[in-house]
Amino acid sequence: MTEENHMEMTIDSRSANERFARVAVGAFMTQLNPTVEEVEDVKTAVSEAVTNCIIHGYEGAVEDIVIRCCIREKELELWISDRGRGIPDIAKAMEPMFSTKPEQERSGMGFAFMEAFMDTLEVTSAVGKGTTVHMTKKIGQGNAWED
Amino acid sequence: MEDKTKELMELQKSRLIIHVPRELDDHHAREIIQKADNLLETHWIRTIVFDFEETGFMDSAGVGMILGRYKKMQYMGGKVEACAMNDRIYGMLKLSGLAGIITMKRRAGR
Repeated sequence: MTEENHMEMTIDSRSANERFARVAVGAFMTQLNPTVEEVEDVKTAVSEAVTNCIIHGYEGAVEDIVIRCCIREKELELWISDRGRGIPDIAKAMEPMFSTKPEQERSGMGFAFMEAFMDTLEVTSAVGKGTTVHMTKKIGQGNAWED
Repeated sequence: MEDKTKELMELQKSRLIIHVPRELDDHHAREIIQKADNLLETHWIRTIVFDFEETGFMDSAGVGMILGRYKKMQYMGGKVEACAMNDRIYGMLKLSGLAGIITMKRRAGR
């Protein structure tokens, strides 16, 4: 699998779509022949990013979330974007246990889990314009005999 | 085939056992939180047990759900337990610092 492959989808920011989003990305990445653990890692990261768009980006309003996914060699690259309210202080938002909505059962662990389960995580945001989470993960790292 | 899906909420005297579904994300957590808090208001509950036996997927919404119930139980003088997690979910709860404040038991044989 050396060819590049790409998919993009737009979903409504409804909590019922969280599962669909992670399962779709999980299905798309199967062409990289990932381990069960790697699929779970990516599904968790997608779930976190999409939940952030719903809860924080749009604060419950139904708008578009765009998920773009690219496979190159053995790397999965993901962009998850909203055009919501944006993050004023990205460094603060990424601190583990920090949440702007602690009263609403938020753990403040979303970015920490994305960071833990993916290789790279980059957040770009503009207040009033929206947020994009960019993540990459090398797949097949666990298979030492494949080198 | 017989449906083995357990009831979400099970009351055993002052223990509330929550049988966490197969997947626990923000969407599912909202439903559990609402149902659990209704029971907490209407029953004398001293312990909440989150049973992860059926659960394969969880994200940080699960951590928020447990943390929220922990705060309520602390206020009311009760406690929270989580049991039968797979290794992955156990690791996520530990990473979130929940291991120090609630009783955690991993899935048997894992």
